[in-house]
Amino acid sequence: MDYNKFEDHIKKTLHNREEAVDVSKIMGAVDASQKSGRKGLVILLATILLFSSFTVGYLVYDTDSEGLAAASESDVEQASHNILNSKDSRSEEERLQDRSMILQARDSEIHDQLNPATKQELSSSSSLQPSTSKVVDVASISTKVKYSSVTARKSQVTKSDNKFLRNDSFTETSARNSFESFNNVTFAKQEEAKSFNYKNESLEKIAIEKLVNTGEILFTGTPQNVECPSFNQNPWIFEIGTIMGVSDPVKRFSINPTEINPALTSRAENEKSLEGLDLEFNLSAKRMRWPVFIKSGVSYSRWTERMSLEREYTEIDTVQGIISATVSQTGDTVTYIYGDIFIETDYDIKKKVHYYINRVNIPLSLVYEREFGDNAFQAELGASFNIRTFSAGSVYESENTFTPVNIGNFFSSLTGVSYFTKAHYRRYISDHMFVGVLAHFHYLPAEFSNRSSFSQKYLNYGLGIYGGYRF
Amino acid sequence: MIDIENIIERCLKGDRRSQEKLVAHFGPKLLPLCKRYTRDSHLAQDALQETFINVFRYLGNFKGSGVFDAWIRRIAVNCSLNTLKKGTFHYQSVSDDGEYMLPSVDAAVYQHLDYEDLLKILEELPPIYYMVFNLYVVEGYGHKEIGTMLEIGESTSRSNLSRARKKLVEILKKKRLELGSNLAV
Repeated sequence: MDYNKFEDHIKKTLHNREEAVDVSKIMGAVDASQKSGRKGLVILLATILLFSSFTVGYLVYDTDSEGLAAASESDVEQASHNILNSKDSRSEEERLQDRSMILQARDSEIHDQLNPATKQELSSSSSLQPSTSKVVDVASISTKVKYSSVTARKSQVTKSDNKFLRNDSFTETSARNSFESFNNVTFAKQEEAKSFNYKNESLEKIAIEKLVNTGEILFTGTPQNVECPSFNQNPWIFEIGTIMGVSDPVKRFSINPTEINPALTSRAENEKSLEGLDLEFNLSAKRMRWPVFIKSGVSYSRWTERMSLEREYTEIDTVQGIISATVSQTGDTVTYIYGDIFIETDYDIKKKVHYYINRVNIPLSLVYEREFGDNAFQAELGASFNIRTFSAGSVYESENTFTPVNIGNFFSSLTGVSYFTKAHYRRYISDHMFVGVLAHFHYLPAEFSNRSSFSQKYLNYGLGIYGGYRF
Repeated sequence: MIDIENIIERCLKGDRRSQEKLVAHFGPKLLPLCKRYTRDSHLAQDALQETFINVFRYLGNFKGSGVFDAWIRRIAVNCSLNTLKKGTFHYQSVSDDGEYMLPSVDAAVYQHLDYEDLLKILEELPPIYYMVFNLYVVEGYGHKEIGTMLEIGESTSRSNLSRARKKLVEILKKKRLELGSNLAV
């Protein structure tokens, strides 16, 4: 009987064998596997939902705050209105007395702020009355922002007491205009120097008086020469920044089950992701009072993969040859027996080979910022659009072969859209400069592999430092 | 007879009943296969579960150009071998020099052998012979594929098959003597 029939019998018997299986147990395992696969997606969606809720919640809260703030401003305006009205209801003599007292109270402080030359000039002006000199000083200080020469103003305001007295004939409207102008000047000063606090109520009264008086002296007859300060309390702010960081790419490597390649199995077991390097240049555009703004730029990342190959194996080659030679006793007959000759070769291979995945992206994100004095926290959520992915190095492809990635065409040149979230802490070290640290997490759904035999996907998280300039 | 194409289509849509039908249909065929390669009922169960996890994960990749039965069996073989590799299993190199030619085997020797008997005989082979024999004879893979699966050279697979056959005949002879049979091998 032919041996092949024996093998056919074995094949038929073994191949057609069936045994009962527990379907529910297998389906349970399948369900568990599918659930674990969805877990990452659920976490991402939950993060987005949480962030969105937080942002919407804050915006609603912030809108209410602005309403309250607007109400407060109108209250202040009304109060100042009342103050001005009450002043108008008093006699001219009383107002002069009050003004004189106020000016005296400020006299010594303001006098100290004048430069020595001005002081000397003032003291040498014997024709001035004491009360007039005080007015001169106030005028000098109140218009400090606008003019640089104190002496010039002095000559302008020391004309006569009559000029000063004419201030009291101000109407309510002009007084309120002056008050509003003062407020705006105050905002401008706060933005520029942040060194003078006008919020003290008594100082506000002084300032109102000061502007009512000095405004007339300085600006009477020439309102067209007055430079109007900016009324925009929510200006655009732009930032440019540079981020440098390191990351830990988490590779998700899987083999297509229809592919049978021990090299892929070895890659799955022994190929490790090393640290990644990140670099980003970005530009942000924000409104000063809005907590949410947009950011974009260009980012570059470089990930390194290391394949550690350690193989010990024996390779057996078979050749046909003489395996036996028999010589007869008489020596006239030699019998050769031919057969397989097995040659065993032992191999011990130890190699560490790297390859690199470089990505250039355009990130686009929404940033929520909360400032605490000179410090700020930011939460960022966005998408990163890959414009180029290029690889270098060699990939383990078969038993003992590492193939250069540019030859093997292992990876895609475009890796689509990735999604990221970042948490920043930053500190404003000056009006224009800031530095900070950040932690980030990237979810990359794209398939990096260019081959059907394996799948290679990534998650990425890391830390970075950055600095920037705002204007 | 079930409509595999219809079941696959429904499985792709996430229909759980169809998934269960697929498991119920192929599971009984694949479990003995997994047992043959893992030689352990627990490992076989694990391999079978892993097989169906991969089947449902990659079902979209099955283009229908091949036979589904062959596709799913191949996944089962891979999963079984991977399950073995996860353990401490290593193929032992067996040195055995000499020539070998396919012998003649009398049908009466093996015709009465059932599944269990054949499996016992095969399990007496050294592991590497056993694997190569199963993959070549039972599953029908070529030496190149077997070499890739088992991480051995193609020629090694070929020589191992030759040795497996030789060894198998020796085992049969031994069995015949044990049974007191006068069957010719």
